[in-house]
Amino acid sequence: MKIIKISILASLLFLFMGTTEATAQKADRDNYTVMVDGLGCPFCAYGLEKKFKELKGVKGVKIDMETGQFDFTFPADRPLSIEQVESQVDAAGYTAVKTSIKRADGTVLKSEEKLKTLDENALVTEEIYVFGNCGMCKARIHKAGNELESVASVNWDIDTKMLTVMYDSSKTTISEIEEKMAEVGHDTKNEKSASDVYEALPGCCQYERSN
Amino acid sequence: MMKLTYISAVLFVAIILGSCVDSSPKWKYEKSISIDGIAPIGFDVDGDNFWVSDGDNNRLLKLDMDGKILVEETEFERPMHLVVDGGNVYVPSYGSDAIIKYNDGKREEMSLQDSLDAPAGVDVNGSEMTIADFYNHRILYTDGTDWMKVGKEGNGDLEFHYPTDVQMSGDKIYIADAYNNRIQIIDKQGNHVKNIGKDQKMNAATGIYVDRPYLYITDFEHDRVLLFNEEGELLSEIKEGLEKPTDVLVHNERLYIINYKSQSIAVYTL
Repeated sequence: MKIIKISILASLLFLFMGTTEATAQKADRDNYTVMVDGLGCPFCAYGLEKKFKELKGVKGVKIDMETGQFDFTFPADRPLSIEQVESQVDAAGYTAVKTSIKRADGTVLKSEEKLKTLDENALVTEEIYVFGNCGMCKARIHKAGNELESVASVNWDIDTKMLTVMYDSSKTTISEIEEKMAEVGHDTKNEKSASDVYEALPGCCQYERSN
Repeated sequence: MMKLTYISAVLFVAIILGSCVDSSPKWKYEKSISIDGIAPIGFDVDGDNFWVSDGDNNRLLKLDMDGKILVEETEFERPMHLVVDGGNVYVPSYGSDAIIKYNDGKREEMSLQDSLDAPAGVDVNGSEMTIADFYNHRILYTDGTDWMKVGKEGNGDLEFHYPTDVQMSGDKIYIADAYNNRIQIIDKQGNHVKNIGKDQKMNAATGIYVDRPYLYITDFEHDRVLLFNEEGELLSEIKEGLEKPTDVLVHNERLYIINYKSQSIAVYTL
């Protein structure tokens, strides 16, 4: 009987130690979530994972290819900044759209979300044709559109190539938005990108240009 | 009677000419074999079974032709487009930058002259080996003695954008130049031979199979496999039964295509 009691005690102690250790381990790590654009295939997802594993200490990698959500943890005593995380995503060949970090001490950091002051009465929605091919093009087009202070929202359809853009017409014009697209390498019906910018696009993004 | 003979002769000539013009395989969809729980990236035939790399789950699996798992090997690091040669399975280990030779439970890391960055495809034929070195945007080839390295990032000839699969045939190397959305052919001396398929607007040309004079390539995002001849002419487009295809092969007059998304093997007959 005594032996059984000792065994039970030992088991409980072991379980308790295990739980404490697990909690301690969890508390020692920061949690990172990045929304990544351009993850088209498993090669991309594994590539992103691989590039992050080069930062020794990355664990718990989860990548949802459908949504582009990329989660991982990293030792809290070597905290990564949002800029470091986004730069590593960039090095892997993709674009970080939004990043959030939950530190082990509970602090939450988020990538800057610009507050835009737009005139609601002047908001208009238009569609323009923007040349492009793939998920990486989409990420670039969205990023360029959202960088414009006067743009409320953008959505580029990969199949139809139509960019639906809502913007403040008291502050900008559709021509300015087209210029912005051309600036990052994507032709529109009215604006052509410079040859060197187009040539610098990744191979998969080099759409067929019209004459 | 004269007229009938004439018509028969014309028809005969037309049939002969027709068969000369296009004798390419006409694959018909037969069925899909479910391999639920397996996210297949590459596969090859070993006798009457398949070896399959399960990328998401870091496994190397041997399946029978009905998709039943016969052998399960775990703890591979993102295994990719493998090949079977001489009883060995050669597995590109994308996550650990190595080519693993597997045989009956034993694993051996192949000795390479150079370091890889995410090998995505390998082909072996006796002492010859070629590797698609994904993040270095290049192709490695050895005849068993000397090594050849070809390529850099770009979209010109002898430039690659994330090559994901390779196959040797004769004196040539055929490459799935994934994000240049084309097949690129080079010879074993490192000379450029031809680019194929750029006009087909593929989106991620991920897996290649060569059965000369025919070339098969998976178009991952467009859920299709394209069949070309060596001149680069598109012979057919296969779409039925496909959802994010990653690799393709022909065996015993059947065409097999693995689907990453639907976790299945699509089978076609002539």
